[in-house]
Order: sequence, then structure tokens, then C-alpha cells
Amino acid sequence: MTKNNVLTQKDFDALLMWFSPDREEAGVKYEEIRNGLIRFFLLKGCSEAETLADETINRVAKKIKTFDTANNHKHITYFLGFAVNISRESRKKNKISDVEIEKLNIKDEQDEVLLEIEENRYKCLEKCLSKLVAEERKLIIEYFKKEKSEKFTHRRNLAEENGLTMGAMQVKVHRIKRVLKNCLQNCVEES
Amino acid sequence: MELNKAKFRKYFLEILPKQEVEEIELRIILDAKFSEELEQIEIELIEDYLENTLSDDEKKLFETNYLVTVERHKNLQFLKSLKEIAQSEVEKEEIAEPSPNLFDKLNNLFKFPKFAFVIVVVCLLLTFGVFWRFTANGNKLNSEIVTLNQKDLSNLDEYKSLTNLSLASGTLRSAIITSSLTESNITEKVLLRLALPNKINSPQTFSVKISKDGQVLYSLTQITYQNQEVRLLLPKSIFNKGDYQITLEKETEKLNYYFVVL
Repeated sequence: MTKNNVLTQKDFDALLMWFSPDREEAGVKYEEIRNGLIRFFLLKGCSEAETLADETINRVAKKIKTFDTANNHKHITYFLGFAVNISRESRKKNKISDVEIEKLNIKDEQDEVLLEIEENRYKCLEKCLSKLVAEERKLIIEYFKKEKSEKFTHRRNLAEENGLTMGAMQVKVHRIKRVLKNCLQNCVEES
Repeated sequence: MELNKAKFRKYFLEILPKQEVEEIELRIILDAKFSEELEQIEIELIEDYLENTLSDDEKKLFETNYLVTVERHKNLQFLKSLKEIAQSEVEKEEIAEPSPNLFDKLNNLFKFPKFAFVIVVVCLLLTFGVFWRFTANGNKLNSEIVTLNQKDLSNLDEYKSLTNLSLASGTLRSAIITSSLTESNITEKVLLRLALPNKINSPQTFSVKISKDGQVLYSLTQITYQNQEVRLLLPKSIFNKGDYQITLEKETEKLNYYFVVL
């Protein structure tokens, strides 16, 4: 990150005190906010969400003294303000280039190197799918089997077959997808 | 999940007023469940883009406002590959089904009328023979099942000595360990008790489908029941080792019951 704010013990103590005089309660609050910030950066499409969450906390901690604590603003609004700025900086810095788009989209089918990357990613995904428990693999494959107008009825029936509500099935699929994504990333990095 | 999908799609396409964006982002930080639901809407948006079902305006906004980071591109590619793999499974299933080219090949035979006539006659005779043989056996068993289920099955004491199996609908195939029969212990007739989710006060008619390992064995109509469960009396001969599924259908309602014969 551009500003490279390192959190000192003094800043950290001040931050916890700002959350609550009760150290344990303050610790819980800290974790909640950090997790919330990670979710925020992930949904913003930022790389390294955890690093950005820590950067946000560090910047807030450094500025606590300047906050008008009498105005009753919730802690979270300060964090959001900083997080929005950091996400803008990150997105600007990491704005995807045309070359990267090409690498990811594999537009030029004659480029053997790019095709190899794509093929490798595909093989990795198949490998990761095979590592899933049979029931989970079946569910995620079935879930994405149908497209367009067909998929709604298909997914409703799939949920029914699995004894789940649509919402519960989507959450399950979402969690399987998360496992797959992590596996895929590791596999691509290794190969 | 009943979020305002249209509003949240606009959030990802970055066309919401600043105040609404702030409200959403505060909820993201404060509420993990909300974030998960929002992520689901994001996936639906990506799927719509991949399936080319976004309007021209939405497609343009998706490319210029949403698809602006490496992570989002990676996510798009991931979903694209996942959908391709799932689609290839559909293709494999379609290939496994009888090939339509067979019809074309047969059709070509009709260019030689005499030869075609002989083949048609032989095929008809063979089909008739096979059909007669199988329907004779099938009809016998079907009529046996129909007769068994015309009896009054309300007094359970009469069927105490038979193999009884109680099943709840929607049981996952993975959970069939609790719903099983052992082939060697099955009595001459088996009483299946299919629990209904809601009590039925007046007699209602169901159609019943019995499948084994994904193949439909028998279909019965007009099984009338009331109260809390549907009862089926079935002959031992249909129970062999494998995965069984029983489907009860009534108008738009469909209930599935699973068990295994070990």
C-alpha cells in the first residue's frame, strides 16, 4: 500500500481503548471490524483484501486523536470512510491492463502460450473438482448445468431434491465455490 | 433471501446514488450474512453476462464499471470454466443417449425399397415378440402391485409380521444409511410407510413412481390416502440390491423418498 502505515503498540492500545475500556470487548470489536473490512474489499474486487483491511485499521488508529469523538459518530463510519479511499487507491493502482485482460480472456486463439495458460487453469479446476466430496461435486456441477431461462426451474428442482431451500442451497454452492477457488489458485501457482 | 436484487445489481454496476452506496457498504462491514447474499447477486450478474442475457446498457456498464480489477476478471474466468465443465457433463449425458444419426442411417436404407421392406418386417416381428414377452411379465407384476394396494392398509397390526420401512420425504441420498433394507431379511411382502409433510383430512389421490438406480421400475396411479402417511404394499420380487427412489405426485406437489437395499 502507498502509505505503509505501521501500527505501533501505542496506536494499537489507543485503538482498543477507543473501542471499549474493557480490553476483551475491544478485542472482539476489533476482530468484527477487521472481518467486515475484508468482506468490503473482497466485494470491491480488490486483491489482497486482508492487507487492505489492516491498512485501513492502521490509518484509522493513527488518526484517532483527530476525531471529534463528541459527535456520536459510530466507529464503523470512520472505518468505512478510510476503506473507501483505500479501495479507490488500490483499484487505481491495480487497474487491469489490456495485456492482463488478454491473458485472462485468451482472445487470441493463435497464441500458444496463452492457450496453455487457459488449458492449465481448466485442468486445475477439473483436478480441484475431483478433490471435492462426491455429493458436493455433484451439487456444484448440477447447479451450473443449465443456462438462461432453464436454470431457474432446474435450480429450484435441485434444491428440492437435496431437501434444501433455494437460499440454503445457494449458500452451500457458494461455500463449495470458495473452496474450489482457493484450490484453483494454489494449483495454478504450483504448476 | 429476499434482497432487492435490482438495487444491488446497480451497486455492482456503480450506478446507485452515493447515499445508497454508503448504506450498502456499511451493511457489508457489519453483516456477514448480508455480504454472502450480496455475493450471490454478484454471481448471478456475472452469469447473466456470460450467458449474454444482460441488456446492451447493462453489458456496457458491466465491462466499464464492474470488470475493472484483476480479481473480478479472475472470478469471471473461474465461473466461465465452471459453467463449461458443467455444460460438458450435459453433453456427455446427451452422447450417452441414443444417437439421432441412427435414424439418418436407417433412412438411407429406404433408398433400396425391397431391402428396406424385409428389414422393417423383421424388426416389427422382433419388436412384437420382445414386447409381448416383457409386457406379459410386467403386466403380471403390475397387476400384483395394484391388487396388493387395493387392500385396506389402515390396520397396521395385520402387517406387523412383514418387513416395514418408514420413510420421510426429501431424505438426501447421502443420508440413506438410516433408510435401508437387507435383501436377505425381506419378507414376501414389504410395507412402505411414506410420511406426508402435512396431515390430509380428506382422501386424496397420488401417483406413485418406483425407481431403482435411476431407472423407473413401476408407475402406479390412483393410490388414494388420507391422514399422515401413504402406505404401499409391494412384493419381495422388486427388491434387489441398489438405490431406490419413490416419488409421490399430486397436482403440483412432488415428494421424493429414498432408501437402499443392501
